Amino acid sequence: MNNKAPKTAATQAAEFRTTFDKIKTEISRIMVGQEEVIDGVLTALMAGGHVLLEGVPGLGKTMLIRSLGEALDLKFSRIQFTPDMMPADIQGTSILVEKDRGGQEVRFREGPLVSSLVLADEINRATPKTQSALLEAMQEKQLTVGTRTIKLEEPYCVMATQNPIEQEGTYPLPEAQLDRFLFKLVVGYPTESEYHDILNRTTTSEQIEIQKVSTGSRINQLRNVVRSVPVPEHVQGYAIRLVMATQPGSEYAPSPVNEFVMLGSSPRGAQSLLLAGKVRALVAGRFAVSCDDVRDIAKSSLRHRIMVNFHGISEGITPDRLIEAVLSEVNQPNAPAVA
Amino acid sequence: MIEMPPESDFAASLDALASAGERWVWKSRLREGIRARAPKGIVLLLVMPVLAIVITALGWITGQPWKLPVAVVVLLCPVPTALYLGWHLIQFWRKQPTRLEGLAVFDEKLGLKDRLQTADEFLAVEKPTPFMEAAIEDAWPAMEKASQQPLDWDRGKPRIEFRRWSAVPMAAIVLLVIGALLPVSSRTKAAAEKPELKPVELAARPPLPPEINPRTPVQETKNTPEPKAERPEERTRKEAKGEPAPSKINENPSSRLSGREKLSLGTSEGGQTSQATSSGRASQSRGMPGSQAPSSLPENRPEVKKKDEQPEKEKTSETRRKKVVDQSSATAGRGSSSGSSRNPASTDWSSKDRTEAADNEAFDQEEDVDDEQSESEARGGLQPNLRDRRPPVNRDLSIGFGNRSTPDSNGRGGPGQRKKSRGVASLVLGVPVPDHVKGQPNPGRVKINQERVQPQGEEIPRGTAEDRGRRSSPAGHLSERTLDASMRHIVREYFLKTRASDAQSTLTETPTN
Repeated sequence: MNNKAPKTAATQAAEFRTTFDKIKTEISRIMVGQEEVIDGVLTALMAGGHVLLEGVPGLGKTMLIRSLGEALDLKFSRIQFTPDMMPADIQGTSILVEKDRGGQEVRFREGPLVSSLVLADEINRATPKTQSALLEAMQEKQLTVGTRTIKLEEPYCVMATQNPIEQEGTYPLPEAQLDRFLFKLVVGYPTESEYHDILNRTTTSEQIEIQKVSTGSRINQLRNVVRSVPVPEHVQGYAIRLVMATQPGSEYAPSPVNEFVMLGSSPRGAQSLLLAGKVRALVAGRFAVSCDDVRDIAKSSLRHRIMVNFHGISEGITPDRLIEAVLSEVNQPNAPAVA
Repeated sequence: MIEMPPESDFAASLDALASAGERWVWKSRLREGIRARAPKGIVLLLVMPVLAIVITALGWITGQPWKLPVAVVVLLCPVPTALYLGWHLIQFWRKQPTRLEGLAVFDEKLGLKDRLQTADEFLAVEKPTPFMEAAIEDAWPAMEKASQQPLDWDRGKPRIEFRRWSAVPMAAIVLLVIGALLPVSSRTKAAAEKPELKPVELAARPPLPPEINPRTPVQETKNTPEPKAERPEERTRKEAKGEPAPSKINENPSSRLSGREKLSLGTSEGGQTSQATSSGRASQSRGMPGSQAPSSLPENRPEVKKKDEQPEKEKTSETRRKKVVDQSSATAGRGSSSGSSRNPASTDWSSKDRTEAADNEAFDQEEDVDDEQSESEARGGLQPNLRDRRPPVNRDLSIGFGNRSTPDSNGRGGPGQRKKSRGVASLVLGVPVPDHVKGQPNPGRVKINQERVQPQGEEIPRGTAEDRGRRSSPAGHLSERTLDASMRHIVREYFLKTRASDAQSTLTETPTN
């Protein structure tokens, strides 16, 4: 056995874990509670995906992304979507400027989409045209404005938010666009003890400054480390079974899925499970993904990829409940089955 | 505790663990399989005794006694159980646990996060990556931990409830005893009656039915509903003769044998022509809601209705009607046929949109059905129902009945619901107006008001095209048109020439005059 290679892998994994913990600790200085959300956002950042945050206003979603940008020394931009917003408002547009020596010229002014960390607030209020401009950037990591193509620098991460209450006058994201988000995280209300911390931190004169703990290039390196983590065959088979179990009519689908699901997860769900599983394995100090990693991130990865039919909506069936049913019904490939 | 090989050979250690895990899985599956299938296997012990009893009974019935030794039955009892368990044992034997399943047991029991399975898989890779090698090395402590902690065969609480299932073998024994004693009992009885007969022949004979005396009058019990089938004339006639009433509900089933001897009239009404009665009965003056199927049995002839029987019949009819009303009120588009459903063209379904009549209208469905039937028979075959006892539909369009009582308002098939005001929409022609009834989700009947007026064409005098001729008077003021200079010159020249020609014509005409 080669002693150098394992050390390198162990060193990389250790560095990954250290950086991850540092970023998390730094963000937790300003964010109270919401550990699952912070873990999810960092996991998505390390896995190279985007996040959809759902929660009522005032829970710190903007603060979280801004803190993350400061901790990573990444360019951060916030876009508040409105129904009258046009694609040029977020992509950028050509403007006429005066030259120093006289005369005028056309210059392209980049929009807020050209950044590293983008917070798209209330994305469901934007028109489908504007949504598609954002989603092109998410998927292709580039922007096309007229004849100009702008490459977006890595790491590029979009964190979109949705307000679950105000649905009037909104344009819900279609399934094909929801599929592009790695995670959908639900931001809940803080606990009573967390309320005390929040008030103590935000209503006093004490100012908390976020220290830079990493850089964008370092994040790119850590992303490569994540991609290096191997996935055993039985874990990959388990992830595939879970995704197939969300599709009505498949051999692994339990009865609630067949009854209440209109559209199940696509293969992007399996990609999300494995990528996020790799991050979780590294954070846990392991060198390979396990079935437990896949189970732990199943809800975040699949809840926005499952479309409940009308019958399920009328019965109050949520995607989370369906995922729980899937997790309880689908066995791991090598689990000792009883005769 | 698992014996580890002396050398720290990772692969060998995994093999030892996998073998131990496979054995555990195999034993666990066997145990769980027995627990799952033993109850069914015990029940299968009853198959042979039941089969023996059935065969014996068939032999008695057919009169061909078949000797079935009890010892053979006892020996064959375990056969179905053995076959059942043997089949599942074969299936179980085929599903041998795999190596990964054996390692998965340790991973699951010890919370090792699939380290052993992962290491075993990566060991088989020809060129492992650094992370694979790191994963293999990471599994070594887990393997040591697994080897230190052997798997206990957790027997657990037996699923088989012996107290409950112990009755099954006992039941099998009892059945065997019954099966063995039945031929003996029949043998002794037959021997007492006819000693010269062999016990086998006695056992093969079917049992004699109880003695029946058709002339024994049946005693009536109190508060029994009077059967409607028998007519008063027939009853009086039979009572005078001393014959029992065959149409009693509580009659002895043996007396029905006499009823079977009666003429079987079938289900067609034509066969009952000979039994048609006069149509002068008071009970026939009522309307007939209810089912479509005509009763054909002569025993179901209606009696003269008595007042004391009336409440009971009303109750049964009302309960029946309530069931009809509870049916779906999806009668949209079926029209407003609120009459009796005795129309032969209508179906049972159409009768289900009948309303429950008001309290003062006591319908007796069966009696009226039979009355109607008898009347139609008198006329010869099925006749259209000409009696519609329902009051006309209330067309009052006043908005909001409020609490006003309108006893005549029963224009739809609801349980006494008043007709809903349709409001202004009903005044607009061609607008489908659903008739919502409180408590029913569907729109009910939909009515569309139309004018029964055929469009008529109008004759419009055509104007003839005539020559207007020359203007006799000045045209009046004409708007000036601005012409170009060239056009102006041309127009001026034209008019000058015209005037000049006219002036010459008048000069030439004047000398002649």
